[in-house]
Amino acid sequence: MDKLYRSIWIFCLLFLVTGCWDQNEIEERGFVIGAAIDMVEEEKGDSGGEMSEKELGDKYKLTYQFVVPGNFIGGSSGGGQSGGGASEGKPFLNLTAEGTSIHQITRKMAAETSRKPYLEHINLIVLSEELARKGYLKDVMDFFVRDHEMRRVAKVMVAEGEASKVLEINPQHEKMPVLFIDSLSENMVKHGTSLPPINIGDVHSYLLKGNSFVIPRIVVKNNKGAILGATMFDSQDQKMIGTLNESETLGLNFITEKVESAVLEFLMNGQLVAFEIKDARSKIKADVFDKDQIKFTVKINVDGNVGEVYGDVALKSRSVLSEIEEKTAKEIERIINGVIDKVQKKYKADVFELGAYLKQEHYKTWKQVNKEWEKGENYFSKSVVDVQVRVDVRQIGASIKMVK
Amino acid sequence: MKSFEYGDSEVGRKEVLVGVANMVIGFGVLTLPRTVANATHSIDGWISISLGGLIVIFFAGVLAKLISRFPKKNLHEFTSLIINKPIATILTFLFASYMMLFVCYEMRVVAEISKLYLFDRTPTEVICFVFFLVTIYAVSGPSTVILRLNLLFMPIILFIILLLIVMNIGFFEFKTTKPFFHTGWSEILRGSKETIFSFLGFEILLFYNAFINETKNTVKFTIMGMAIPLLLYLLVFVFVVGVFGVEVAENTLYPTAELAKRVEIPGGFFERFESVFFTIWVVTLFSTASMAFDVTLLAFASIFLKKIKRMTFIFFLSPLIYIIAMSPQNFAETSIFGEWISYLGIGFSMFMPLLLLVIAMMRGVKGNG
Amino acid sequence: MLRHVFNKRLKYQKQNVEDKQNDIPSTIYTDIHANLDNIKRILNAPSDFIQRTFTISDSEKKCAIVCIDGLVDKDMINDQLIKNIQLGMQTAKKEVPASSDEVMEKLKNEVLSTYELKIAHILDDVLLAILSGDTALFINGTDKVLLVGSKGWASRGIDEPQTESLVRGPREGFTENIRTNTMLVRRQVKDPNLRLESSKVGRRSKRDLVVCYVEGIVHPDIVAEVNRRLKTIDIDEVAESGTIEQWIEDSSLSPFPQVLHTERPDKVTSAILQGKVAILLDGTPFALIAPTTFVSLFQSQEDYYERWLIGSLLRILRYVAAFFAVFLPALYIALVSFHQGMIPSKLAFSIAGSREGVPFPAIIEALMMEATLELLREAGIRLPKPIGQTIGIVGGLVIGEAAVQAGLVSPVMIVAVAVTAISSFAIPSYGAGIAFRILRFGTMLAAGIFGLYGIILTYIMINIHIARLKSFGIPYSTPFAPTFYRDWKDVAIRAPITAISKRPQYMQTVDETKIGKGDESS
Repeated sequence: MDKLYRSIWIFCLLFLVTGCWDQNEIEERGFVIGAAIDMVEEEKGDSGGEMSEKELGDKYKLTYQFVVPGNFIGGSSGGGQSGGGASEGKPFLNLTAEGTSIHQITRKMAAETSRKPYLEHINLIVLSEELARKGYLKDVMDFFVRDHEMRRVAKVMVAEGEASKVLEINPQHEKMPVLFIDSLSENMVKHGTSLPPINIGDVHSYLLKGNSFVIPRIVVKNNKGAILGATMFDSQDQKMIGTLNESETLGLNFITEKVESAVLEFLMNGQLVAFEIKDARSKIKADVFDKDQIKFTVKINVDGNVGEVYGDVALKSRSVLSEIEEKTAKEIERIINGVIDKVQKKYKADVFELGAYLKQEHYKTWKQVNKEWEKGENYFSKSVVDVQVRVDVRQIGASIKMVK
Repeated sequence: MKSFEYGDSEVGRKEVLVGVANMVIGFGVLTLPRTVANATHSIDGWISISLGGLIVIFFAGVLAKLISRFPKKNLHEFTSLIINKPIATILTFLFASYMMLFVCYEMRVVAEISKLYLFDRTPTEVICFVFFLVTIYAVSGPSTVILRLNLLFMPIILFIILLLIVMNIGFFEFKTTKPFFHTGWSEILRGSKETIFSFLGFEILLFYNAFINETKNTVKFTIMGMAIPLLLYLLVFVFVVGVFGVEVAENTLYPTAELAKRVEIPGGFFERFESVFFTIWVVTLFSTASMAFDVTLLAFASIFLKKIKRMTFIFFLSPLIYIIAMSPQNFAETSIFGEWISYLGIGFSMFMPLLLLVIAMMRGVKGNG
Repeated sequence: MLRHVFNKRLKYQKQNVEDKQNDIPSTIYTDIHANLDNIKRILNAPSDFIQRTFTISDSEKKCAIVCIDGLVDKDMINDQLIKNIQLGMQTAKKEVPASSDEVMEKLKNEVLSTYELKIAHILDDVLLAILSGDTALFINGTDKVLLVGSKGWASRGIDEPQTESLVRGPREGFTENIRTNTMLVRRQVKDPNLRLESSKVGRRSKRDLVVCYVEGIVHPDIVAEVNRRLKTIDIDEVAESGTIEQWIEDSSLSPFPQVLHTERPDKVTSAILQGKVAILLDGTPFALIAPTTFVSLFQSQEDYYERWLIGSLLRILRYVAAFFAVFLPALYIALVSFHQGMIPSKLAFSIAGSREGVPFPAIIEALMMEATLELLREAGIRLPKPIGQTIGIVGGLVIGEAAVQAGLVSPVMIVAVAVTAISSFAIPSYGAGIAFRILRFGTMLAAGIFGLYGIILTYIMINIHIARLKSFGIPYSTPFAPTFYRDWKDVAIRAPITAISKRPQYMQTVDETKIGKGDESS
């Protein structure tokens, strides 16, 4: 017994001697907080053809945003003016490298910077539109999904134009561009005009399910970021096929029941009324009698408040309220029909997840149409989507009328 | 000294219940959603799990019936009564070898998972080795201690799984689970087959029978013990499908781990719940491995009639187990290894007890006269 | 193993001693002077040795008292003994009998007005009595000795227990005087079944030891086992109850105390009423309670005095404290040097920033700070009381602050160490607190090598150890493993008093019911 104890102790001591393989002190990590991936611009030869070793050369341009921890605590928000910092005092550092695969570039970058990129705190992945259009989304995402270090919650976005520009915007209220965009995207959801954040896990499941899907689109304006609309990807080869603007995104969110709140503006009797949506529920029904012309009925119930009223609209009478309700419903129907029209006719991509609905509720029909839902026979485009909106005004606010 | 009855070398039925449950819950929870989803491609996998579970529970009942016929006797002893001594010795030897392989597999799996989720560069050999040292420390004590440890660990294990489920309630979408009932019987049966593998482990009772002091309700408590993993598996499967959809469940290595990755601790006290989950999961794998190791030792000891000391067995078996555990070259080989052990397990835990029970009943053999 | 070696050595010593003692005649002579000379020779006429020879009453019979100065109550000897013998016989108009034996009988039965009187026939008994503070009365012409109880040395008064003070609860603690201590116990349990079995322990120190239990509650096996183990004690000096504890405990390798010690009489009475056995030793205010389980390390007497919600909250807090005390520095190490992904992003960046100048890995940093802390604690105990506190505060604050300033450690580490230090003091049993401190270094090392994996493996090992450990035949991990659901009412939460109507099941008490049905009408 004694001997056993002794040998166990000796083994334990041995471990101390052999060292700690995975020990890596926190200050030695190069925390990557965001990544932007672009295509390398000059691409010789046809990309679709056989890839020789030469062409395998450089394909992606990867930009990592590193945290500079020393400046993170000391630096004031906005960066730039904290004194005494080693590298200009900015709490972040963008590094760019080119290569054939994300993995390889990451390794390459380790040689460039003194610290090895550490991806466990990555918060944002931005892809360039070019990359998305060429259908490299799935290749790029593979690295991020496969790497178990990656957190599922990292958000994915598609940038208009160059992705690395997104990481260079001037953050407001936050210390780093990535954190700024992160909180921005959380906030934008409340306006209803942008998609709720999509993370790596979601993209993974989109790719696996093989439906068309949407990813938030970020547009940089005057070095100040704003997330606008959505980017659509088709189901066949996961290429980006088009974009949706703000109001189209709102329409999409209505159907997929993702509107938390939104503000609608419309004219009533020549006066502007702002209607604040508090809650929107949608219910889809399908009539699958004829598979060549499946009829979807989307019923949307909206609750909301009257937010702003200009002019002399008196909110006292029931008739005025019901007029507001009717107008709002009309407005919402217009928005939704607009997006349905665009998606169904122009892009033929079922981003409304109507196919998924069929699978869940009308499995037999789905089996028949599944193969040619968005291609060939294109049952999706042939289907009819009828939108019915019902609006209820819950609160009119404290005042009935502002002016006499 | 004369010590208290409960403090002695006996265990009650609670230990049986929890021991069985803890032995069965192990690596299975992590992979089961994937294997079942692969077979059934839909939420209907729950039928597979229930079906497989019920089949196994039936056989567990058979085994419990067999051992309650022979109170305080282990496999070697009652097989000698039922058939004869040479056959009993051969059977016990095979059983011991199977259990030993089981230990090897379990240890390897611990190392693989820890390597995947907790380590990066630490060699698998080392991860496995320290785990093995702890297991040896456990089995160097009496068997009752190992059974009792389950009582200490079970609440933690149930807690972490339920926490995992509760934290995911917000992400659970009922519509993702639809449509129901459209999977063919052949697929469901195929799913059940996969499920059965995850329910093995209750055969430890063949030896722990010698320590059970209340023989009356062994059958009932064994079945209750088996019901715990069944419920857990159902819960985890439904949640994996409800949160991610079948497609993701089919295509991730450990779907349950994905569930853990999804969790966000309120208040952001710490992140990456999956690391915590896996850390705690080591505890379950430890209980399984240590019980299997303990049963191996008991089985070998029963053949040699306690002539050889327990520590001697440990001393000679440990290097062997370690070498076998380290022999699969990669994860795929480990999986195949595991599959073979599972087939062996079906033989030893389901058919052998059934056969023994039938013979015992025909011959009218009973323990204690 | 260790004990075996001890035993061997002890046997050897014993023989030596016996050889020496053989020179001295241990019989009592009839001649008083021979006796006095003999005793003087044995004790080597120490300076505190008192002998006084005088005649009984008006007769010619010589007698002598022998005692040790300082141990005896002088007034009592003067007033009750000498006065009564010299004058008492006369005033009572009693004849002094001719036979010395009769004189002694008469003195014992009629003259001496003290309650503790005993006749001894063996010199060893006489010597022991003298050395324990009694007075021996020799009468010329008889080989019997009258022993008069006259213990009366200076002792500390009943004081508030120093190591276990409570906000609510009795303020009196045990003292060094065993009579006071038994008094304190008896006063709280006026049950005729309260047993106080005395014996002497230590071959040379010959301390009084009292095994205390309530017959009819305690399981007889436990008393038998405690007595059996106490009988094995064969050591010349029992300095403190710690000596006994170490002798009778089950595993000397375990960091956990298997016998609880306390200064509080109320804790002892509550324990014996739960079916446990208490051991009191003369000369120390610390009583021992056996058997002990892991959960009882977390039970403070105050839990029962406060209302149950408060008691339960405090209990849970203590479990959390124990967890912190053992695992917090280890978790810090694991997170900072292995699993940085688990720290919330912003916190991770600030820790990284604050550690930028720290030249050591987290494990060294943590070990350094923990060592400093232990030093401070140790120094604080040694230093005179008023300075001790100052050093504690100054040392803690100044060293901590300076270490951060000097870039030796990171501020987060200081927070972790401070929380750990406070936590380890929240555990009511001092011995358990030390155990957790020891374990802490183990977990820190494991975390430094394997991160979280190391921590969980240490956790498993601690569990194995606890499950294996027994205290007087009772598994240390009761009531969890083996499970006694009934006893869970008094583990993490302390159920309302009325809900705990039975004594702990794991103690297998003879009389289980604690609370009667009470007034049926209410």
